[in-house]
Amino acid sequence: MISILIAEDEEFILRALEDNLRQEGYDVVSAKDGEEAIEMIKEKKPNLILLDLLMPKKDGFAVLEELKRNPELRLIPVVVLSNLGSDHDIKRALQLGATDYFVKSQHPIAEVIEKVKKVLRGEK
Amino acid sequence: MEQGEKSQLRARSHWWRTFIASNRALGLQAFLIVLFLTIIAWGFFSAVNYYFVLGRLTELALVGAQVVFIIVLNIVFVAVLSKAFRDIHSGESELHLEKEQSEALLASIGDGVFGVTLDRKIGVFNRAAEQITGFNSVNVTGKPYHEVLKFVGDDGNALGYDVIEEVFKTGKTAMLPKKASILSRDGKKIPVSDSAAPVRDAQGSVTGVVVAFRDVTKEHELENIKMEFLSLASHQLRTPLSGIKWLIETLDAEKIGPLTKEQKEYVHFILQNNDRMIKLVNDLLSVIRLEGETPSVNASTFTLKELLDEIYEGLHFVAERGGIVFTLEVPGEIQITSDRVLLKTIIDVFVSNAIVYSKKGGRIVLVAKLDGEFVQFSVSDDGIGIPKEERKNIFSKFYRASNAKVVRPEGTGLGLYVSKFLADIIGGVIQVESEEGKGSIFRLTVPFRVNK
Repeated sequence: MISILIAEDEEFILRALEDNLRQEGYDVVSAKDGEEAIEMIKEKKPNLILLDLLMPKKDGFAVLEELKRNPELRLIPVVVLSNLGSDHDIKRALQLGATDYFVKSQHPIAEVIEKVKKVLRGEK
Repeated sequence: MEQGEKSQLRARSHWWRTFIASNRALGLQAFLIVLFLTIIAWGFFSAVNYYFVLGRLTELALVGAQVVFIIVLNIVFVAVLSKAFRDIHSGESELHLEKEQSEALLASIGDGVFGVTLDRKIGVFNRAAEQITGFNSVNVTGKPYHEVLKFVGDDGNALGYDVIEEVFKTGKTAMLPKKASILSRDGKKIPVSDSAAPVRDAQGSVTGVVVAFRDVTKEHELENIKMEFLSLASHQLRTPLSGIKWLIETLDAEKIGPLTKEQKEYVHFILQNNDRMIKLVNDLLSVIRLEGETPSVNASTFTLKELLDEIYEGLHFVAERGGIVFTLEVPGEIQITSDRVLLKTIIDVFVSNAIVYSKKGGRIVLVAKLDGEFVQFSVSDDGIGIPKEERKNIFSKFYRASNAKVVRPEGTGLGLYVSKFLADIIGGVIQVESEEGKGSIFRLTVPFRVNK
């Protein structure tokens, strides 16, 4: 079963994502902060990561950096979902190796799910 | 403390000057009176002695009359003389009073004020100017202004533009650019807003420049706090809003379970309102970003047709959906050099507004044409127009015309504000022509070539 890890500290956003992704038949696990996310990624080695940027303990940028430094984890695609929408933040995340970046409030959830499917099929 | 001593000093020197001036007049008068009296007395006594010894009484009487005449003449002479002195003296003190008054006025103004003479030296330098810059007026008056007073930009580099020379050159009042600072004596950057005005003589030629400036450190701090607050608030608002959006979308897609027709309608209403709120927050954020850091101009060369086609592509579906005919009028292949993204953003606002504020069956025409060294874009519509008395406000942040609020309550009042902001950056000018109920024309005139 294809597994997806969601790193997101806002419970209701997590719930919306979980419900949608489970309906598509994915195995969904979640982490509520950056440190937990790293641990779970190491343990579960998910097929894809949905990463929030503003999280307690360790922010998404730090998580991304750590993942890309780890040879075992660096190939897992990471889609950033954040409400930080400045060009600066988007550029930084993409430079750190994020596959894509969604400003949450600007995209319907259906678009995010479509993107997840595409990335998992190996399309960009 | 320092100030008190100064005015005391001024008062004392005034007293001395008056004393010396008045005594000089008195002394001269006294000297003349004594001189006259001595001569008269001497002549009188010699005449009296002479005639009395000879016993010639007629001549004695004549001498007495002459003496009386001379005394009267003397009295008249002294009176005239002392009046003349009084006049001169009172004229002096009037002038003096006027000078004192204007000095006091200059000193008591809260704004820093300094004057620059025709040979570019500092004339007056008031107390507020001393306080803001840390320079002492005694030390700076008479020195070339550019050696003492340095205006710098946000980055600490000297401004490319000298507001004082500008006034000398044009003879018109000029303002410093936004975000200018003055360097104080200890090298600190003090944000100021200022205006420079010409001083003219009776013939109307410029003889100097007066610069008034104000320390705006406090205003800047407040503005920064406001921006930080808005930015934080907007980010914090986006999180729950995007959560609601995704939850309702999931509900609407019936992923949680089937909905009745009425339930679906309700869900749509909630979704629409939520999207409206998201739009407002996003617009707010973009304004905050605009004001926080002025976007730099990225000039490129492109044809007018390319730009207009791009705008058309983005908006003609929206127009058609509203039953509005949107057409372009583009001259042949003409290339311009400007910031394509900023230009598009401005014209997009004009066209979007025209669509939103037009009725079904309305017509919108976007025209680009050359006008000497400028390109003029105009967007005309036959929509609701702008009430005359509200036209001057439409570029203000959050302002919405009364009839616009009725047609479209959810507008944010930021579109034209942003357009004006961006137009200034690329050296453009926006003009509006409008008649309520008949339509509007928005024109943007930009230089054919913008420097990179």
